Amino acid sequence: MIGFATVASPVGFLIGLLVGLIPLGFAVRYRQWRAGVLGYIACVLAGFGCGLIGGVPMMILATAVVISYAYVNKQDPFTSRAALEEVSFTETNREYVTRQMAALGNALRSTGRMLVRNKSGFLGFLGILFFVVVLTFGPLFIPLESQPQFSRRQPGATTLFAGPSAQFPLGLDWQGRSVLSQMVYGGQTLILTSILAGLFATIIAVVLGSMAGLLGGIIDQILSAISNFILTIPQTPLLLVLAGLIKLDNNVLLALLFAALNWPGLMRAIRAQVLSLRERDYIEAAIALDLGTWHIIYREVFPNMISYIAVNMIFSIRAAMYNLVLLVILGLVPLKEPDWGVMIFLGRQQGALFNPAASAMMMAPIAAIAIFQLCLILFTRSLEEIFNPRLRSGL
Amino acid sequence: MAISDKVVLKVRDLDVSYLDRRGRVRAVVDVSFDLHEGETLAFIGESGCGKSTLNLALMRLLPSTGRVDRGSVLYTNREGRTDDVLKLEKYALRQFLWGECAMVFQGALNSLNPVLRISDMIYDTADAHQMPRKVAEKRAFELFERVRLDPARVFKSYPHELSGGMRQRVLLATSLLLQPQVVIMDEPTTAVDILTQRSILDVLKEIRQELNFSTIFISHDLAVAAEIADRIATMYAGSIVEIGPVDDVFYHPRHAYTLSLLNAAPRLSTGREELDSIPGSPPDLINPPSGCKFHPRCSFVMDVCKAKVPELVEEAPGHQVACFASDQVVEAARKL
Amino acid sequence: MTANAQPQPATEEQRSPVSVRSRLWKLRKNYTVRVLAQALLTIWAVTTFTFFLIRLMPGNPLDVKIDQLQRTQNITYEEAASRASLLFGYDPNQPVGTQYLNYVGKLLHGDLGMSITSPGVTVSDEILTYLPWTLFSAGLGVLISFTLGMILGLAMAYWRGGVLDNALTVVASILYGVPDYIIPLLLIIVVGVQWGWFSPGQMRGGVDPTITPGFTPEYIGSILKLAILPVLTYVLASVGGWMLTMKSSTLATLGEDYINVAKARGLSEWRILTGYVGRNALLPLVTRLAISIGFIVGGSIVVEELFQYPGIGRNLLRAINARDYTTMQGMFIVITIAVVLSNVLADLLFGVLDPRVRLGDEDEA
Repeated sequence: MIGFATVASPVGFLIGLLVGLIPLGFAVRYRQWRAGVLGYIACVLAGFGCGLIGGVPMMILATAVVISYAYVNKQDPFTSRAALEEVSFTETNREYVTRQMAALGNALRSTGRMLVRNKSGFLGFLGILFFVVVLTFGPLFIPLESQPQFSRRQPGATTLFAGPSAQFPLGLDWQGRSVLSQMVYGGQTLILTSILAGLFATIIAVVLGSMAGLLGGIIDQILSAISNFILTIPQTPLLLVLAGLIKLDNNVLLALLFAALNWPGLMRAIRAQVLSLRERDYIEAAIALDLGTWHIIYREVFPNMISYIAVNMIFSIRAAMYNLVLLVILGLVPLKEPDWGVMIFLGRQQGALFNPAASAMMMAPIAAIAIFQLCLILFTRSLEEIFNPRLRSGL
Repeated sequence: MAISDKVVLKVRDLDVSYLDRRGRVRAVVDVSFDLHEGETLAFIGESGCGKSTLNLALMRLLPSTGRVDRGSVLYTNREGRTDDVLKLEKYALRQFLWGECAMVFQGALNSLNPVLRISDMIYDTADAHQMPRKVAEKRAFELFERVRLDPARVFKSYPHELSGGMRQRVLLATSLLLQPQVVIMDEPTTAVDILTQRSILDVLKEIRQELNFSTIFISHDLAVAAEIADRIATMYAGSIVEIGPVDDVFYHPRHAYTLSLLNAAPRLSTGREELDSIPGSPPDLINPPSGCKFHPRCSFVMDVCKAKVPELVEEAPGHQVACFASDQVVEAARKL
Repeated sequence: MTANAQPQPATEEQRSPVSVRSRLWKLRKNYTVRVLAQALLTIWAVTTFTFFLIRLMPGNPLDVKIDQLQRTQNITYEEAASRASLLFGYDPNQPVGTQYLNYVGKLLHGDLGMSITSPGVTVSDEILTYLPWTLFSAGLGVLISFTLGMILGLAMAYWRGGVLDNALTVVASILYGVPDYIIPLLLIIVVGVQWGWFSPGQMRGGVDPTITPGFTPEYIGSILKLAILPVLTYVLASVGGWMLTMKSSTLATLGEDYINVAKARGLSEWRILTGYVGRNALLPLVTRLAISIGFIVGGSIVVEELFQYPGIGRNLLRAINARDYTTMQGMFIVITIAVVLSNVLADLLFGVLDPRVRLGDEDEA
């Protein structure tokens, strides 16, 4: 499953260039220049980055959103913004879709505003965006070097290590391969596995948390005891021991393992939220009316918890990345090149730690991991602002 | 109760403002008043009218965003020495605080440090004012008994072990620990239930008589203010708009705002059933309305109210008011 | 489980069964007893978990070892099995229940079995050799970073919005956001190799092996000198979190009414800082202490590996790489128990600092 991120293709780019003209044209007609330009960019990026399978739906969605948004918000004295709020019961399917798409566009627009407002959060977002762009589009321009390049040995040098130069901006590794190429290809597995782990952890936490809160009784007690247990045992030694016992060669398995260690915090918060909601009268009314527990969770718990859930997911992603890199640089999982963690592990084995010429080769993955983790943390500040209406209306 | 002529606290032309993102909030504007020995002066007004800010300024406890722009707070101690509180040095200020002027804050739960016993609080205060701990303890026991608390139990308790009313009485008792001349009470009865409020007021009246201190009493509960106060000062948008003896102000109000406040409060004496609310909301203190700041909400509004700021004028003995329409207000009040 | 959790009171009061019951019931409310019971329960759960983890995993270590012995030493299966079971300290032919009871019984006596890779050495001995190093360096690191973070966080909150606050907030956010194992790598590569402030080759190990052990200045000096880098790493890795937590909790405390009341009572600034602001602001930090200790233990594995520090983390890694299951199991249990006990200490400290959680004690008195 992991690996489909390298499908960036010039053909998709061309398709995107063409398809992007549709939302642009409509938006210009409705005098919504900015939406049109954004839609164009979205189409190009979708076509470029996601290939045919992922790109086409993305392009259709972007086109629909931009056209609807521009249509509803068109600068026309006879229709107004209020059209968005007014729900006519006689609306046709087409009108319904238009309204929904325009609402999505509006939400995107206000989200964008929130994102820019918190400076450090925006910085984090830009950082993450930078990594995503480089890892997605970099492979188009930079070939992967997997074979040793002995011809690059400097005259008189004992190793192939080299510092940054004009030709190799990040230097050469112990086999004379360009570090930049390793960097561009080496982050995808790591980041995708981490995101997967974050998703798993969030799903587990939400499901178990709502279960514990709604069902209560013995299930609640068992789940609380398990979460307590997981929170208490030191995770890194446990992971190490597990790595010593089982072969952790499957990324999905790894993601599940990290998720298994990461759900208790969020699960407890959701359980507490569900419990406090249960106290409220209208929930009792809903239970009495047999509206269904999942309905309650969906309508009441999520809107209240979305900020917390989102931030927690980022933290889970971060923790998974931390653990994965840790296992790799200690050599406890089967190594697959190219990978940032593997660069550190092999670099250390090849004596790069103490070789001044190899500092660049070591610093590149170290810096990338550190900066990515930092950006994730910073980004949570923006997330809090986007999802938390209390913060939003405040100063 | 006899009020002596001796003035213990003389406040003149006090301006206090806060720095806000939008600009400077003028929370207290040009406030002057005298507090006599043994007297209780009650400040009434809506929340946000500057009552609490005024009193924090008197004790120089304003948060870092607030500052006193102008004015003086002249305090005369029992030996007859007069100092400007606003110009006191750090050490002298610390001695003044609690020793000469104590304060009972609103919200009794948050006014006590949750991790210290009541005894630690007493000792801390005693240490800061060079009072031997034994003496402080003895006096605290006396005061606790006076406010109808069980001294032995309360003294060794943590705040969370006491009920709301008990905490409020602890605060009241500790405020008198060093026999201050002035006690400022900021809504001491708002956070407690009606029975506790009753008993606190009774205790307060009783000890005031015995221990002879002056009180500045802040409340938005007019009934409480009427019961406890000798004089009443109405504040609106940071200024005193009316000040006078309690009966004069409550029975013959001369400011349109005081009248509105009275109409908005339930009164047993008149037996009126319906209450009038004051239309509109308190003014923006960054850009206050021109002229009389009450004019946008006033039912007696005239052209002059919008143009000129009314000054405090003594219209009856000891009764000052800042209102151009005071005659009409007197008329309207009589009809009630 | 309950019997396991509260053994002492049960044995003490065996004469009168009725009072035992009511006393136990009362003890449930007692904060200290609750904390200790929780800890014992966790330790029991971890040891049981480890038992089943090692035994029931696919390709269980014992079978692997038997197979390996058979192949390398050219002996019969029975011989290999008996040798292996001696090493592991249990007999695979017994029922799992009996095995488990044996295992728990041995654990209670501190018997963790024999090391597989270093013949003749018990795991307990190995742990006793390595654990002090980790306790020393990580403990010192926690102590310094906690103190430093507390003071800096307090200063940041007091001079909020100033140059100091802004600069330190950036530094703390970066230190907090970066994974801890990045720090020793950076120390070696940037400070050691590139800047040449220290020689990474010499700053390795726990003590210079050429110095004879003893209470001599050289020996202790060498221990301290070689502890600098690990301790510095622990401090840098955790001080950011302390600073940010302390800053926000101090800001929250400074907004409390009782601070204003304390000022109104004319207390000295020092007394307000220590007894009113500091003590209340510290409470969230103590809660965090428990979490932090777990993380330090995790980080210590990389730190000790990179600096070749002879602590338990590095040796756990060595045992894992060598597939030394008994050592692995013993070290994991000991590390977990150490973390649980640190949590207990943090909880008890919290109880001392915050009277509100001690409610149960008052009922007893």
